[in-house]
Amino acid sequence: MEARRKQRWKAAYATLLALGLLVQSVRLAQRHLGQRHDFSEDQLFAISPGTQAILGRLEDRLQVKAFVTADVRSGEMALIKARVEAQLKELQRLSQGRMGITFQDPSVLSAAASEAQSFGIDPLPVSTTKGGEQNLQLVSLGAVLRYRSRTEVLPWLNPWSLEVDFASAVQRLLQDEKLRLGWCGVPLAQEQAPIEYGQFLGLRERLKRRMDVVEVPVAALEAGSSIPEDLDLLLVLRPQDWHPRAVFALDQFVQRGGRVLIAFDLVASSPWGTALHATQGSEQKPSGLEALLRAWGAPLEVAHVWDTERPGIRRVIVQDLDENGQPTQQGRLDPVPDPACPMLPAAAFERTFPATARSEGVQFFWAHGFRAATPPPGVTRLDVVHSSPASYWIDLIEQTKGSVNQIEGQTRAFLASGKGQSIPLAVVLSGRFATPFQKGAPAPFDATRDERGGKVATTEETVIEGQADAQVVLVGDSDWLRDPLPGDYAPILPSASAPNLALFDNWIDWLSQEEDLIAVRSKEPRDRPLRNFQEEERRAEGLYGPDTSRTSAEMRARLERLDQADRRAARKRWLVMLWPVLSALALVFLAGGFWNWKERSSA
Amino acid sequence: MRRAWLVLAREWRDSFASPLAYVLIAVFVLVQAGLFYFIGYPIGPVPMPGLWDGGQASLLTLFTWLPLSLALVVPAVTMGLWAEERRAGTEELMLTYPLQSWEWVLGKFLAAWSVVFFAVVLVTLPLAWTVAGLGPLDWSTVGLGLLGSAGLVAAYTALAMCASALTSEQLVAFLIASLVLGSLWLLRMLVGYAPAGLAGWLEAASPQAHFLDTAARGVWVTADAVYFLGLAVMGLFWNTVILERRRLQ
Repeated sequence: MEARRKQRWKAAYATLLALGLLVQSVRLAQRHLGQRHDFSEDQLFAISPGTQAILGRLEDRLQVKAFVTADVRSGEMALIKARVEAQLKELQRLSQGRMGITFQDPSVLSAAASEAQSFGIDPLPVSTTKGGEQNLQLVSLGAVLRYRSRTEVLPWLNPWSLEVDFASAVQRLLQDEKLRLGWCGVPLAQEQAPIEYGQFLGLRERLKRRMDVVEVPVAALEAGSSIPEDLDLLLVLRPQDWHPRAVFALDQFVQRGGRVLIAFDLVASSPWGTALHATQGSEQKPSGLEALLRAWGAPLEVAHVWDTERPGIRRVIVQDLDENGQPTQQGRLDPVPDPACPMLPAAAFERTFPATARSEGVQFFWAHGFRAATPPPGVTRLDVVHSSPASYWIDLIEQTKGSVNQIEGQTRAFLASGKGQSIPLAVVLSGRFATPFQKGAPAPFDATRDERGGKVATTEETVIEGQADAQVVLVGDSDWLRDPLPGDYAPILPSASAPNLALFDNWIDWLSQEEDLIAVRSKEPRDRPLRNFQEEERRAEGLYGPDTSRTSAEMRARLERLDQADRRAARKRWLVMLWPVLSALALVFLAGGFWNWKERSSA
Repeated sequence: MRRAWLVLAREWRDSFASPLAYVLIAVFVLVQAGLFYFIGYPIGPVPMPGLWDGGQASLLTLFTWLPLSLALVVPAVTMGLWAEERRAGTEELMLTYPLQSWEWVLGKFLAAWSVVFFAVVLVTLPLAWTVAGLGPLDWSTVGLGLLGSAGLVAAYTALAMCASALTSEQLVAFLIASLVLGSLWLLRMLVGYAPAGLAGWLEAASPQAHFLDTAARGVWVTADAVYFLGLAVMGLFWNTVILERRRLQ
């Protein structure tokens, strides 16, 4: 009995030992047999060709100094660290000897700690459990990249975005000079201003991380200055009421081959007026660029786009009423599907254009659309973002709806008109542009003498036309890039969300000819939508969209047809679900039955 | 090797002559499809929606269930492989045949593996065809997912056979094997609570890390093949040792 027990213990030890050996060999295989091949269509788990192209452009040695806490106590953090190290090593392998990595532990070496701190690589507190007690450990996981005399810092290496972050940093290191971006339209210096509607502080900081951002004040352009020629690209946000002289400066920048992104908003809004769904304080304000856009072949409509098929959800403030039916100070935020705030899916993007080829979504607010027009000879126009075919033009203010009932009523009225159309919301123009200033350059604006909107004299200045190929991106909205409203008010209006910013980055990269970065950043899982049987059946019945019936009899008939369509859709769905299961079971039972019958017959 | 094929044929005959295999396959297909369509995968820090709720043409939810559901299905298939021979007293007779122990082990392993993998294919392919009809399915992830499933089933089968070889009670064999395979499935969940030194080991020992993060998403990783092959070979080796000992006794 004793001998048997001993044997069992030995067997158990041997099993554990074998398991340990197996796990250790798997870990060794993970470390040294790094073969990994991504066969999926999305290629999310492979280093993209864009990153490889960027690494391939390294001419000298890229030195990566990683500041990593070696003794990480949290298991989860240890795995994150292992993933980061594995990715860095894979990038090193792909660099074909042009990249070196050294690891330093700031928690052990004080020199490393102060060096990391000098680069802004601060350790983050990570929760760990030791002896049943919760503790916090400070963990560093950052890196400094050095190439020639340039330095880039990645303060925290996130394994899920490491490839994009790393490739962007290397791309910046490869540039002899930082790109210079001109910031025009809304003032750049808002350092001390409180966060409120219509500011772009987040966007500005994002751009400043990768390029030199230079302000190009509209007032200076109106006074006769021109846009600096050494700008690599120009960002114009919310141009409103521009004097012809400023428009002339913009036109001349484009005629010289400049690259420009203009985000329009033809509404002068009081911050909270717009935010609180009320219409007070909002008025239409022309950009002043109308003639220029017409000459370029992309006229912008003052009216907004009402996309009945793709309403985005936003929240409106609904105030409680007292016993007399008067609004009280109390209120709540109710979600409202708002067609004036469309949530555009992947299908809304032009797939042949690199910067939107893999875009998955964007949300606009009170967007303006571009009218169809023939661009001048030498200019190519490509509409890169569209609303759905069930979209309508809507004038601002009085039709601006704040409640579900008002919105639905407006949608019903539009659908009844049957004049829906797909409207371009963003347009890309490239080529040699025609200038609308052939008769002469407008005289500078003198605030002491001239009146806005008055007749503008022309000067004898030389007007350049079509000197070099230019690229212009025009977007019928600027709210999609705006800072969010403060605190609880954030969901009231859409702002610069992650998909919106990804789309913006792609456009900036396209304009600055960094298409490798677009390829790297576009590593998002492809949208693979399923067939929507309910929508199909409702469409087949002509019932898709809100109710347009006017009488109660019409409404009842419509509801009945809706019910029938939904039942048909449910039946189809069940059929689709059941056939694979039933066919699999039928196969097993038929084959098994036949085989059993044959066996018994032969027996 | 030819004699191992004879064992395989014998086991197949036995399996498909009894209603157990049919019931098991039918239940597996129905449950997997139901989970895939309606429930999704609600376990863990990142729950996954069912097919209709998620609205995406992907079989990832189906594959995500496999490590757990196979921890029940594989023991149900393998529990009788050795235990029933012992209980019925056919083991002594079996061991007198001019077959080496490893041939018996290999034959039985291939029989059980093929039955379970057949069930996996039977549920995966029709669902894949259905989903492909509903949206743009990535077939390469389905292919790699099936390849990974083959490895997962092989490792599970070899381990579960050891449990069957240790006892003469099928129920006990089923419970031991389910417990072992269930514990392997749990390893991944313990990573978040483990100290750093252990986390790497737990991750390396977890079948989920070698299947769900890679093959089920269409990624081939050589270390995963080492893991599944290693577990299968280890299980088969122990099976052979146990059988050899019994033969000597």
